[in-house]
Parts: sequence; structure tokens; C-alpha cells
Amino acid sequence: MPLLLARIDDRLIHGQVVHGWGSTLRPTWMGIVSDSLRADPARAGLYLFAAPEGTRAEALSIQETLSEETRRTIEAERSILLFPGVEEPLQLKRGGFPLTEVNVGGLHHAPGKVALFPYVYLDERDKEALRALAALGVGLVAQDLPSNPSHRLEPLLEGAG
Amino acid sequence: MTRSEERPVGLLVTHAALGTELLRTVERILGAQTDAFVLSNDGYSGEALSRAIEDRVGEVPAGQPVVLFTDLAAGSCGIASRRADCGARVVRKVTGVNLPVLLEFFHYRDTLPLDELLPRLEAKGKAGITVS
Repeated sequence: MPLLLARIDDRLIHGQVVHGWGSTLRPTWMGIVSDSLRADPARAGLYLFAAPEGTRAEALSIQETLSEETRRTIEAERSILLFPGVEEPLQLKRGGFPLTEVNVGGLHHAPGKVALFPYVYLDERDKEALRALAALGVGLVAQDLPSNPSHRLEPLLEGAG
Repeated sequence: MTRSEERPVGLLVTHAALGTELLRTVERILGAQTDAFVLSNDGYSGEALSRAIEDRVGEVPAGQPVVLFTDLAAGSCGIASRRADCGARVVRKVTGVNLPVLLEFFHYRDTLPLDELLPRLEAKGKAGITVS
């Protein structure tokens, strides 16, 4: 089965993912793609604990996500990939991972970031990475919940330096 | 009777306006509360919410314990509360907050030691849920 959702969300596994997307997509596997989280089992455990019943969750490094073993898992399961920021999906795509669309579902306010939507705040570095993803053929959609409208992000990234 | 400098502070860390409304409802029932604060997860990343919790706990006078109430254990608030590093402060954490839990807390926080109060909160919260 193809990947059901690839989502950038700095809260990772949380209510919107578990209940909002989870009830619609019924995932059986969630992969959190983050080198830093993979290297910190205690911190990873906090997020993995939040996975819904019936869903296996793992923290994976970029390299692990690119492995054949992870690809097989994704195809065998009803899978969701979660990224804490914009860099992880870009690294995956550049590494050959077949990402076709990324949901930008939660990048919250931080100094220097500007709101595109109430749940998407970007700085120039974020925009640059997203533009690079788009240039590699990855569709970008802003959507917090499946029941809420989705928005193409690409036109909103144009024009900035 | 708990001395005022040892009185537990209630900090509600919840989704959207839930904490505000819960506290407002408590006050409708028990009267105005001091030493009670609300933090919504609106607009916060997970890490930023953890830091906001640490900051809010840091504003409580030293010596006063804090009881941190969150709604979904497996949500951003629950995760951020577990991640928050409040150093040597006494911070106890209660997930699955509901009205019975809060009424028990605010009703008895001045009369029961924390170690007696916390099990009562859990019992009241669970007992408040019935299915028929």
C-alpha cells in the first residue's frame, strides 16, 4: 500500500494526528523521521507512547528511513511518516525516497517566523527548503485536519528570497 | 491545614480553550480561585509548550508545589508536560483532567497533604465516568 500521509508537524504524534488523521486513515504504522529523536530514546519514548492502539510507532533516522527494510514496512502497512521540520522530507527526497506529496500540518510560531495559516509559520529557511522540495516534484499541501480545507502551498512560497 | 506557602498551585495545560472553560466552571461552582493558571497549547510547538510550562512553573514561588493538569495524555499537552524539566521543583502531573478532578483539587488542596490529595483526584476522576 502506498504511504498514506507524509506530514510535517512539530508536535509529531499528538491529538490531531492520533484522532484527526488516525480516525480517517486508520494507520497501522507511524514513523517519526528525525535523527535527533532517534539518538535520544528517552525523548522518543514520549512521542511513541502517544501512538494510538493498533498502531506501531518507531523513531527513525534519515538513513533508516531510506533503507529497503523501512520501504517494505511502509508498503506492508497502512503508514504515516511524520517530520518535525522541513529538512527531513527534503533530505529523504534527495536521498531517493519516493515522496510525492507532503502535508504541512503544524509548524508553530517561533521568533522570525511568519504565519501563512494559523498552524503554519515559516521563516526564509523553511520556505527555501519547501521550495526545494517543490522543485523536486513534491506537492505541498497545508492542512491541519482531514475535515478542514487543504491549501496548495507552492504559490504562497513564491517571491520570497 | 496547608500553609499558604505550601498550597499547591493548579496549572491547567490543555487544548484550545478547554482549560479556561474548566477553570471558569470550577469558579462558578466553588467561587473565585487564586493560585490557578491556564496554559493553552494554541500556537505552540511541542518544544515551545514544554518551555512555556517550565517558565510558568518558574514563576510560582519556591516551596509551593505545582499540580499540572493535562487533558490528553497522548496529546501535545501531555507530552510537553512530561518533557518539561522543572528542576528540583515539586511538580506532580495529572492527565485526563475533568471537572470532578478539578473540583476535588480546589476543594481539598488547602486541607489535605499532596500525597493524600493526588490519589483522591485519580479516584474522583475515574468515578466521575459512568456508562449506562
